[in-house]
Amino acid sequence: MWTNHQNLVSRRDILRQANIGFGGLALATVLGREVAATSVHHAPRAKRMIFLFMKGGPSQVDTFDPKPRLTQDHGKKLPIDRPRLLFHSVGEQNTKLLASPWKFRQYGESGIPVSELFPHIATCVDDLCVIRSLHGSNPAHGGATLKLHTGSGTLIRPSMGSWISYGLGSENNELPAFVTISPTSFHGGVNNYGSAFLPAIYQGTPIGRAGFPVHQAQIAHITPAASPSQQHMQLELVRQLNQQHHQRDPADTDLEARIRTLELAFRMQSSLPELQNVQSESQQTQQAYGLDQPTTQDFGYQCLLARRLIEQGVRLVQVTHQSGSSHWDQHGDLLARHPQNAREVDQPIAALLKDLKQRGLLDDTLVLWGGEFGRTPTVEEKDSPRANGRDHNPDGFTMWMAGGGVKAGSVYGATDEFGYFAVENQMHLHDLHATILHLLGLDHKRLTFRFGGRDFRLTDVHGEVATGIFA
Amino acid sequence: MLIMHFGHLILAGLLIPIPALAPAADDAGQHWAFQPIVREPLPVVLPTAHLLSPLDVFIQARLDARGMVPVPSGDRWTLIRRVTFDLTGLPPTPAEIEAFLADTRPGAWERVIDRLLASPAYGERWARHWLDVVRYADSNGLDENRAYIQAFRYRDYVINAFNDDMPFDQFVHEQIAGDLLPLVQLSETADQQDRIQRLAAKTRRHIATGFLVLGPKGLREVDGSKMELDIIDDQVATVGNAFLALTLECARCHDHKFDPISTEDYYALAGIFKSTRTMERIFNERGKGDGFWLEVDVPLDLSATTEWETEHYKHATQVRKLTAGLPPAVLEAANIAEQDRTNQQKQVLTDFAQADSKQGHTLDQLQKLRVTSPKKPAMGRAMVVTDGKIVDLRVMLRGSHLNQGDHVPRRFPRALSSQTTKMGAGHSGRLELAQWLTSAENPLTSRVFVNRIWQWHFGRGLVETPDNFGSLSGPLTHPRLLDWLADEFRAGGWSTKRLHRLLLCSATYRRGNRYEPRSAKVDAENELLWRFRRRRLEAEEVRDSLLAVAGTLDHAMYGSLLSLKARDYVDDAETGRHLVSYDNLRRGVYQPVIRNKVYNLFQTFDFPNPSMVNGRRSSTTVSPQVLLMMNSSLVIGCAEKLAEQVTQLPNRAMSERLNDMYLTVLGRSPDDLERVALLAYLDRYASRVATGTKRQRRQAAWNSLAQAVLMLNEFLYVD
Repeated sequence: MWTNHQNLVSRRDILRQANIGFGGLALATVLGREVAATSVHHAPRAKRMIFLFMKGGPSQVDTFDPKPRLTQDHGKKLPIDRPRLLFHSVGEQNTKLLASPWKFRQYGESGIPVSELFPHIATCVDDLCVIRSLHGSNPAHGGATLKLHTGSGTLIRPSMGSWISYGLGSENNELPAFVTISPTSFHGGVNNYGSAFLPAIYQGTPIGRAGFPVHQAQIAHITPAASPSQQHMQLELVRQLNQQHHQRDPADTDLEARIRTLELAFRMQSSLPELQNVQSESQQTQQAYGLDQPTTQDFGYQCLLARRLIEQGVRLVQVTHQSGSSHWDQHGDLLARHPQNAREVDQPIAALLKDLKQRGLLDDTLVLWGGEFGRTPTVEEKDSPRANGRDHNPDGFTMWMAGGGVKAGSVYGATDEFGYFAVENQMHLHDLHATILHLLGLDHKRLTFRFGGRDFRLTDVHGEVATGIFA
Repeated sequence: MLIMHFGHLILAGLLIPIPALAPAADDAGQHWAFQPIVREPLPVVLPTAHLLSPLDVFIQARLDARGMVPVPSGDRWTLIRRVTFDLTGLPPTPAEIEAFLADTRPGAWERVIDRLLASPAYGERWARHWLDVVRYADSNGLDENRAYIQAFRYRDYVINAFNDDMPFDQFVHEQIAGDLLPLVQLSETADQQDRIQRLAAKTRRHIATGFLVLGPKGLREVDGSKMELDIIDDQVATVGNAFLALTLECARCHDHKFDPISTEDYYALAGIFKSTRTMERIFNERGKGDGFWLEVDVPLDLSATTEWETEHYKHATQVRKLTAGLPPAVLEAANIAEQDRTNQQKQVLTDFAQADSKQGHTLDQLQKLRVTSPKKPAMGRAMVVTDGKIVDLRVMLRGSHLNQGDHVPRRFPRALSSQTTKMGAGHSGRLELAQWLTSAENPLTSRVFVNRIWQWHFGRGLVETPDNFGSLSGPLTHPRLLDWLADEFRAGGWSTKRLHRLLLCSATYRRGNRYEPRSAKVDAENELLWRFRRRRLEAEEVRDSLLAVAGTLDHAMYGSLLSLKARDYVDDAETGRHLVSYDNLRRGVYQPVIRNKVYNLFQTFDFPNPSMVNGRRSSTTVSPQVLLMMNSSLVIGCAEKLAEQVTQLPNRAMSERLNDMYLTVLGRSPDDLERVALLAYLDRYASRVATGTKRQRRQAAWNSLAQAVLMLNEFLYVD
């Protein structure tokens, strides 16, 4: 895409004035103008993606990356150098190793170990590709969350989802290409799904916000202000008067597009709330996602909604786990809070994976699970003996993928024996981005956008595709 | 991360070669933008052309060359609506339209322009253009989001600068170095008014430097040294983009490959900002990056503060006279309030007073003065910079502060400046930088600004990329005109209002926008300006117009609409609830601009990302815009108010009421066809409303009709 340089300027001009619904570029053909629907660079392994974002940074050594050495040397001093930048620790503070309080067991045919925090996800382990060698560069929530979502912790850049919708568009004109459910308003906020200098149509559409019950959340202004028949009558008048106005300047495609958008918006008013209404799902499905349990209700709803959205052609759905104060940032109280967090997401995620699989969607849907960083293998001592926790660790942490053409039932990469640094098959966040784009059929080096005289891309000048995780 | 700008080079140079766009480095200095401004004589054009201004001649010459005939002038209805939105961001009122239509004397157009330029709404509209360029916002919003509750003072400063037609060179100087500009020396005969004026200038200039502080900041960047360099990078980039339309920030990591800017040039400029104090704190007590920006006291009541300063000076002089020669122990004791003195201090004073009655008298007088010390009036706070510790930076290899090269003295980019003198050790160099930007040797600043003004009037600049005049800039359609305007602007004392008049009084500006297939075939994008460019209203105009036609717009000027305290987060830390409200009737320019969370209506209508310099807004057509017009309480409320206005006047025929509505909203009367459709709609709608009295059903129909008119393309577009 965008290889025809001569047209760069005029194409960008068209994008500035993109006359499009939610659908992305594909719909621009309604204009009869020369904007080709964007297409993939190579055969995609995944057509869509669900990102299960665990806000705050779950601990790798307590979930998917067991470290016997920690148990063995519990309480001893970490014998290796720590990174140059530490988030909270100063000097000799927080250097004692902390054994994981949770037992690991091997599951499935693959025998991949999972800690007792995730008994449900453990039953899906043969579908997972566990990547234990993620690393980033920013030890603070804001910078790391932005880095994960946009590739930059310090500059305003388009989000990964915006790049994907810019690259792929939506499969459904009535729905946005990129939806983010209950996004966090902190740590980069809208920038995490914003389009920066990409045209505004590629910005993620938020449903609700973190900390607010998602089943009550709605897309802005989707509730009709009048009855369907009244509104229909009103829109008909507007259409008629707009047509007369348009006849004065029949070549103006903006005016024409706006007339079409009116109809699109009217249809969306019914299609979107319908999608959000999960009552039409079977009792069995609702229970599987944990909608009947207070602990799992909210995240279960998010996961179910994610499935319903991708089923209808949304390209990327992000689900954020940050209900109220219970996100994964356990500087203290690891023992109580990590299990609480895990309980809220474990069953819904397992249900989602099984549901996707059963519907035949998992093959070409990439599921990604993880936080903005992991946690230190050393203890962050607080005054209270109970309040032990772990500090931020961007230097080695775990994410997992499922479906979408990745090697099911596999483990990729490794951290050192303490679980502090990624040492084997290291995957920087830029590499993660390159790999995700590749799975979706996009070449991270060719997915570019010219702004201020430069061609930008999600991975900046970095990014290696980790072909080792491909099925 | 740090070498991010390298990406496009690799892309452009190897992966996606764009040979035509990538000049060899040797040629970079030959690029038109770096050449001196040359004022050429007006070109010769065909005698039939309709010319009202010198600029029409330049436009006509290019049309002649392509054998094109521009469309005739727009009608008066179109022109009054166009220019009113253009200069004030508001629709013309029915009275203003009628006055213009009735003014058949020569000079009617010029009088409208003068009226609009004199209206305070002009400054509100044009300040907003500038605020786009300087990435104005009311929160830091990068990693975390704290409110800049004092940023509004800079915004109000910009409004005043436009309304007062502050010469643009002065505007540049004040924003970059307002705190360093020399103030007038008060003479012996100076009176209170002189003092007030001096304090006003001092305050205004310091507030202007908020320009340098308002950028996005990663305040919790753990690596504080990097935080500081990122803030400096924002300052270099903003100065470069806003005034020079150059991407200086590219040279943070490597020599600019397209423009003649080296990494030495970058760090020479960065040194100026490193020597400038922008932050009150960068590291916290744990040594971690955890920053707060700088704020200082500014007077709220100039008169009271001036009086206080005078009194305070007198008082201090008296105290100084009395205390001269007092032993240190006595002075120390005397300076402490009576009730706070230790027994020993009391004894010191008693002994001293008893030793000599004259000394005792001095102490009594001091005591009296302490009580009558003039009370300082309440002060406000403002985000400003001051000069800091003066240092030169080292080049940071590949942009990393962990890998430093040679020192570079503070100076201007070599390719743009003949000046070789180094900046003094005693000051940052901001004043020199500001003066260099508007010096005769700098061809960019005036070109860039006249191009911005041109674009804001005509929808597209003579250079298509207002923030980038480098080698990769968009096409320059009328090079001679650009230089002629830049020269005229400087010669005219950098007066922005004079420039507006020049552009608006042209025939080019007054063209209609009728579609001509023949011209469209030659120049579909209308680069040569054969007709006027239709535009969609900008985000603030949408909101302001809705409130204006509903009769509910609050025209109050200035001030902050944030109800947060200093440094507060914009969201509630516990619940995530957003703490900023837009539920008010003030103009759009006064609505808080929260980075990461721009007001929904603004976001929907293409408000630019407030973290980046953005001299040209997008104008998209997307469904959420329609949903907002269909279902938002703002639009429903405005429609009801509009309907109420139209229906409450007694003894008016239906068609007159429809006229009123159309004139208010669209600036014209409905034609016969439209009138029939509108009347039929009212009847049909009322007949389908199930409940209520006849009158209520009728009102419901009017409400629905009013909303329909607000949803028309014609309302959202300016011809």
